[in-house]
Amino acid sequence: MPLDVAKFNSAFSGARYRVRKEAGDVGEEQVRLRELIPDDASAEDREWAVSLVELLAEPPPPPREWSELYHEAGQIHASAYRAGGTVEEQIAALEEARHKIWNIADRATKEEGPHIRAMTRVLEHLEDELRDPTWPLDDPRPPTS
Amino acid sequence: MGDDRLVPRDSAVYREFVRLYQLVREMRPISVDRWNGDLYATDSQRWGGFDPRTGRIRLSDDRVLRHLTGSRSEADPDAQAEALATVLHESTHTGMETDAPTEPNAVRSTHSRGLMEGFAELRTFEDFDAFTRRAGYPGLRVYEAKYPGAYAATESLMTQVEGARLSRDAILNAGTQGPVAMHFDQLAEAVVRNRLGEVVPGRGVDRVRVRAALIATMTHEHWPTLPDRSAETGQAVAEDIRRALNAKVDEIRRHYRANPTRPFPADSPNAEAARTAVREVPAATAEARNAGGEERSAVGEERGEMRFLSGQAPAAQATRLVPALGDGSRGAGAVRVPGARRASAARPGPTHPGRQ
Repeated sequence: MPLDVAKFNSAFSGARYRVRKEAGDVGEEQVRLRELIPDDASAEDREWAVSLVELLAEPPPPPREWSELYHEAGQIHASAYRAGGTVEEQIAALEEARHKIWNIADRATKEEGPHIRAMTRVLEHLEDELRDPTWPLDDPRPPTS
Repeated sequence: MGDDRLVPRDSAVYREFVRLYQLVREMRPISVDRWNGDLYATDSQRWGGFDPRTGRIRLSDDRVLRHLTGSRSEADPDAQAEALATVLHESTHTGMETDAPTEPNAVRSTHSRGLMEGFAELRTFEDFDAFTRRAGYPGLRVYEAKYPGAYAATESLMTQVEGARLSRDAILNAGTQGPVAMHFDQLAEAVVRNRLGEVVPGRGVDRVRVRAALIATMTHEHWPTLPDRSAETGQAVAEDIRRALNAKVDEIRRHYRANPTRPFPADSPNAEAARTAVREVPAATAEARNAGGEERSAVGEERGEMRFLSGQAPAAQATRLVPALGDGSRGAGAVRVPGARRASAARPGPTHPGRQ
């Protein structure tokens, strides 16, 4: 029986969350994960699954120290994400933010630049969605409490 | 876009993208395959994305495609990490249905647009290690977004609704299937199961209305747009939502303690669908409603409830979807690439003949 990749991935994801965020027992989680690897799993699947089981026991990598450029770009992202106004104004804000963030990324180090630039992935999609919405933009909002 | 170039299907980069795309689809339950198999390269200052109108995917040549080499880059691992994160993010979008116009609890607003992006980023962050190891790019790293935005807002909601009966991971699995307009309904269902399981009757009408009431607390007027607010206020909004959610849970408990047979009163977020659902109730069911007092107006909503619980799509889109919350749905609509983990085994050419 082949490894159920989605089931194993989901189990690993849940186990890592419990270990890192809820002080879950690493050994117990590893036992549960190993039980999901069938005896006749392919060598490739086994290698992948076992590497994730072992990863669970490794301490999480230390948080990265970001430069001021990263934080500056993050503020631009946040402002554009919550920009109000007309649809045209929101599109303009998102577009301007994308350009600003990419310009900041160009000034950052080779290591940090890609992660700064990645801040625009969501902004770009929101902008596209405003230009060509999945459902009408003027639909009334749901009731709020 | 005018300057975009169609990537030849017999090219190495196309084959590598298909291989990665298939790997992503294996790693979570998905409901659809919306990609039409056309991949475009762009030189514009964009990462690229999936176009739901055409079914195409376009990706930055410089920021994404040139990094899809089949092995880890020693020279530029950060750039390669974000390129692979983009593949993961886009492949999540194509596996997720979007609209649900006939569902009473569909939230067809800006809130859901933000939550859609939040789920895609959350999934990308959550699965990045497992995906890159499986794809042959081990040792790369991406970083959880700490600034206010779709990721932070979605993460905040997840922490408020997760629990023992419906875990964070189960919610994420439901989210990767969509429909996007039902993401808030999925979060509300988590609250029902985790905090109100012994309180709310199993009747569809009760559960749909309770979820509608909970959705209203989560779609805070300042989430996700948070207009003119500072980051600190973003935290305050999260706290506002937490308080409103807790208060509503208490109110629902009090209601059912005093009125166990009366459905909780709540307005549907998609009022038009709720009205249509009631109009479409068959005659025999209408008779039962007339005799049933409190059951009236509920049957149409109950059908929506059953669709949600079974993981099925709204009827109007049923032919494009397969049951989602079960297991057996992965890769639906797509031909699996045998041995997809190895670049050399990836098959060139179209891989999705059955797509919409």
